[in-house]
Amino acid sequence: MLKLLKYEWKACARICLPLYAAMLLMSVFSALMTTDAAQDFMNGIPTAILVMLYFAMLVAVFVVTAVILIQRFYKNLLGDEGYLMFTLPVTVAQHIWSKVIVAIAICFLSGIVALLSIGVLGSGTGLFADIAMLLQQFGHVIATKPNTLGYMLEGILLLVLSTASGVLYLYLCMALGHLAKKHRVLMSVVWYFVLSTVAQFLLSFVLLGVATGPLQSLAEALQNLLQGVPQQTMLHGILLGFCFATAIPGAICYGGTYYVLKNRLNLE
Amino acid sequence: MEQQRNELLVCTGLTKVYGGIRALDNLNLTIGRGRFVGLLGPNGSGKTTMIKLINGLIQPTSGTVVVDGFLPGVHTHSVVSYLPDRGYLNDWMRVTDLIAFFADFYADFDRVKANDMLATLNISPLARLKTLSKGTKEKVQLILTMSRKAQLFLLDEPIAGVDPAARDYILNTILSNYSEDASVLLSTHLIADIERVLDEVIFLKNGVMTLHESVDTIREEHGKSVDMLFREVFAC
Amino acid sequence: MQWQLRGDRPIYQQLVEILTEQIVSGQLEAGGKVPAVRELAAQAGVNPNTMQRALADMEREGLMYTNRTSGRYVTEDKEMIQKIREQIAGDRITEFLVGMSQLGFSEQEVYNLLKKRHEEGNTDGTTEK
Repeated sequence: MLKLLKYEWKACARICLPLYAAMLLMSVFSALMTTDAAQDFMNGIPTAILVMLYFAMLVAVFVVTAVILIQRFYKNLLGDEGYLMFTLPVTVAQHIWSKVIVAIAICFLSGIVALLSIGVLGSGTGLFADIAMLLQQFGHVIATKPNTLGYMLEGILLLVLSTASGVLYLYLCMALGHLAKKHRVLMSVVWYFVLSTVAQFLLSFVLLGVATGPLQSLAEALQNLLQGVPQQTMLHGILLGFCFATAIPGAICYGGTYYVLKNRLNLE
Repeated sequence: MEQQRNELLVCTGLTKVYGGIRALDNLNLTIGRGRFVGLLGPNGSGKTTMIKLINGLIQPTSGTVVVDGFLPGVHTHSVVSYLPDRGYLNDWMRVTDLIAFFADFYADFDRVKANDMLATLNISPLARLKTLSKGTKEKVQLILTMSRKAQLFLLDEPIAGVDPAARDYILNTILSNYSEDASVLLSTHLIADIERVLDEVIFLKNGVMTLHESVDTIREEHGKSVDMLFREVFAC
Repeated sequence: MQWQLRGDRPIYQQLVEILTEQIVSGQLEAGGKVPAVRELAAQAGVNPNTMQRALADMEREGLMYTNRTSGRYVTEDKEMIQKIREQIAGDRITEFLVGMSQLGFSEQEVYNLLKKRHEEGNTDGTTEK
């Protein structure tokens, strides 16, 4: 399992890390070029170009992240490389988990890099002072309101879970798509839309149920139950509830992917 | 009759249907240990399908495959060394990366042996795969496959793409590498080249096994080489 | 260099013939040690199982024997080797005469041809009688 993680990470890092480095470098340049002095230079044309490039780059980071997520799963497991991966003495669960974990890491890194670069661009030279102040305030808040730390952790958990669910959802679509005899990529896309529609339908059904149907009484009962509860506990509850709610579809997608790879694997 | 523990590979009623076509039809086959078996048949006769089924890369429509007493899974993967009929390696990796990869995952991988073979065939361990020719890539894959101390070697067309000189070397490597309790199942249509090294041959025709016999028995009974018999059986 | 094998007969039989010839010609010495199965198989370019079978045949014919501790040896029975040597020679002559008679030569004519060649001092042909 650790070995799988190691190789998965290597494979992703060789594309991602240079991209991140370029991204941060770009933001530093842009920050320098957006100072007043630079903007006067040549009517600010170089600055404009640079800023445009910067945003293109920002978009690229996210596109590349998404592409890597999809490609690593599709090519590595369902393409020719699957001949190697699926003949390793490794369980299917280990394959999926190693992919999911690295995928989450990559998503977060992309997010952090994007935030960081925006920070650099926004604050220019004052950045480090800002960060220091932010951290200080943060420490202050945690000291006075210990619950905040709890919210934070729950928030992060929620982020991780929703990323995992999203990634697993993509995996499930690809796994289902590969069951088709031909046009496997196309079928993956078709599955993506089919499943999205179904999920949306289910969601609206549930929401509708909460508003009018038999679920209404349940919701009301829940509301009554929660009335006496202090606000802080409720917030915790809501966050954890969301975590749970995102974990369910994630688990379903995982189960589906696992089943397909384990029992229905058909490499061309 | 072979004893239970000597049966390395057992296929029972193995059938695979691809969109209405029977790629493999009710195959019953037992291969013991220490055998060198040729899987022969024209293109599209089900050779690759059979090998993929043994590896669990595709699932049988009906019937079972048992390797060393287990259905395809983690255990069988650890005792089977498989050379597919296509490139399955990451282009961006170096040869040394691949050796590290194999050594990491397969406990029975022998680095020294792999490096020896690379040196004999003049392949630089530092070369990136994408810079190598098709034939060299095949050699690298074969070296990786043969550097394991596996019990069953499944080689899908291992000699089709390489030059005759390397072919001799490869056959010798296979011969000298596999130990007494390991078997080799090798699919090919270049029969003449490998006939002398085989113990047994299997003829596949449109997914049906038409013959499973030892090479010498064929020569005794038919008075002709397997190659000649093959040409007769599969004459167009 | 791989051994020359033909397609129409069992490989192990041909291996037996080649090994026998090696013994008869002295390439494998009487009483000498026979190389390991794997080594011989690699030399011949054949499967070790097949070589094993050929060697077992050689033992059955008495041309080789296995010592439990130290391996396989060529027989020390020089008389036997000589007998087989003559037998092979006889077979070859028969084969040769059959071929000649297909070309329309009588045995007497063949004998004369051989004699003539012998007298010319050309010894690179067969000198056996």
